[in-house]
Amino acid sequence: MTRPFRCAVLSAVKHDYVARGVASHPRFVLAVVADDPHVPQWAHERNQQFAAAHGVPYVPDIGRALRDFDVQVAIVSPEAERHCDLSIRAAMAGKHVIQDKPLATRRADADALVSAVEANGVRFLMWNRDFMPAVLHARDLVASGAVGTPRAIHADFYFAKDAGPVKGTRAPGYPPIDWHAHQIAAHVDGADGSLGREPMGELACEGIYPLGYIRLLTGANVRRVFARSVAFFHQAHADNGVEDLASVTLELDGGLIGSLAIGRIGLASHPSGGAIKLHVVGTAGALVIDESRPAVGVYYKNQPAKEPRERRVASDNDFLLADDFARAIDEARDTVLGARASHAIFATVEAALASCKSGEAVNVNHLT
Amino acid sequence: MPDIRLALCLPDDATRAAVAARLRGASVVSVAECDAALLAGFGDAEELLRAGRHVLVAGAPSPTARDVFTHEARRAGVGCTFVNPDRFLPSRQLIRKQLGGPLGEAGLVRAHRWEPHTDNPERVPEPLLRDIDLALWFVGRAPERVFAVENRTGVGSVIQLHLGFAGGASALLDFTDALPPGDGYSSLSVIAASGAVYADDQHNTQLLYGGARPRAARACEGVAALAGLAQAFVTALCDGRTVEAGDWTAVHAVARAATESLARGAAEVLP
Repeated sequence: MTRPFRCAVLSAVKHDYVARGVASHPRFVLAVVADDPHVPQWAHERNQQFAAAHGVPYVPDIGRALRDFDVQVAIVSPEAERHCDLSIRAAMAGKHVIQDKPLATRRADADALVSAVEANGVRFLMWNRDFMPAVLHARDLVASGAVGTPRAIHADFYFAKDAGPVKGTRAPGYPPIDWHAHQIAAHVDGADGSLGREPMGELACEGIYPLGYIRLLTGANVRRVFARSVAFFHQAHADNGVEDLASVTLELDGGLIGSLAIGRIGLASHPSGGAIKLHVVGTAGALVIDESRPAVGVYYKNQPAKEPRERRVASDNDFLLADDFARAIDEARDTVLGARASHAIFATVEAALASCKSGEAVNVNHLT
Repeated sequence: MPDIRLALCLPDDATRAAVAARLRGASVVSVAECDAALLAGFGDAEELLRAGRHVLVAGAPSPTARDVFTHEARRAGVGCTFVNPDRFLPSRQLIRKQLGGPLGEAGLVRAHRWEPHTDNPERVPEPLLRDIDLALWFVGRAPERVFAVENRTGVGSVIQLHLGFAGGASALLDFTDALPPGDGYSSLSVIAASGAVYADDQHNTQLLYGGARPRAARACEGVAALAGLAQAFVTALCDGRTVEAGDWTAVHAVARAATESLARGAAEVLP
């Protein structure tokens, strides 16, 4: 029997679904949770709780965790601006890396991460949703030629979630919402995807998912973007100058065009967590995919507002991502969303944010 | 007050009969006998205007057609109105009503309109003009910025417009007439301040099982749009006013900006 890959969880202060997802695969076992000693007490407490829940030690020393626990894999999910730092340290120690989104908050960090992964010959996986059943269905249909060669591809990615007070409800004179404190508090219901000291809008936080779909289906790089964004719903976004709703026009390799509509649009806006759809127009037909399928409708008296009415079933995303990662290590090949591909998405988001500011189309600055 | 004598110049007899059966305050007559005519296309408009008939065209005019027909109408002392029939679709009426009510202000209008291939010489074809009109209607103002891209790697048009509005709202309008022969597809969603609406052929599709894989059959909105438009026309004529039409000047400005954007490869700023 193949020996499982032993994993160091490098910070579990954000959502811990990445580590849990990896651990659900029989080829991976959590060996240790670690973080830097200087992180705040609340971070140590979260790490400690996660470690206790999984029956592994918590070590406030990342170097020691990577050195002394016979680990081959690092699972990285700290605050966003620490992602690259921890991933790079793991890669430099020769560990394969699975990282939560976003790839980075700064261009230099993203560049350094790709360099570290490639220089050390380790595998890298940006955790994503590429293996959702409907996305795989779309991938297979496009790959089979069912619509011919894609000419246009469009992704809608709406999370029907709230994010604290509604925009416009802050009383006069009341201080602006502190982003970091707000995200720390949001951990209680898992709405802390943008956890970090630097405010982060939906494009930077969630753009990885729909842009990952587009990449998976087409294999194309985005070359230029035109984008618009607004803090439309939530006071936290408005106070911190980041968007909760955005639209992006995409120009990709080979004349392919596309678009992205993305937002954290409020719980009331969808009965089941948000509309996530793919539209593909090809030379021989077209395709419309609802990412939430298969699902089962569940409705009952006094149903909590946050409970989805259409519940997704048969999602194998976690297992398949972990499986892809294991095979990538075995076969010394890239993962479904490796460092360079993740960088391409980071660069696309970076260009989109620049376009939002300038009002002009912006070229995507890819790695050479 | 006597009934308006209305000619219904619609695509087929069944549609004409279905619309006629729903009309109040009008007698449906032939073109030769009418006071006014509802046209599904522009073909007979000029002749009818010259003959002194009020005309309502269900469709989006080109700038040229609008100028010519408006000029003829003025000369003949009759009315000529162009109305986007999509505004009268029950789904679009419901969306507009909700935006004026519980949904609040529109933040992002997203439309996909896919049609079988036709030889359409227009860079911004008529169905896309209708979607621009809908977007402006839902947002409630004209955009300040327009960016357009197209794919020219196959037959037919694959074009998308990106409209940016003051205050941060935007619209993404995707149009193609590159589908194989058969049904088209339409999807419209509006993300608004207090909620969202989704009018989508994927949701409004029935399944037909006859062996092998099931066939999809769209649930259509029937003649409701044309019947609603015809009734609005009759009521307006009775009241001595015109049917509320879209701001075609603004729509054409967006279309011109889109064409310019395609030519220059850059975003266009509207005054």
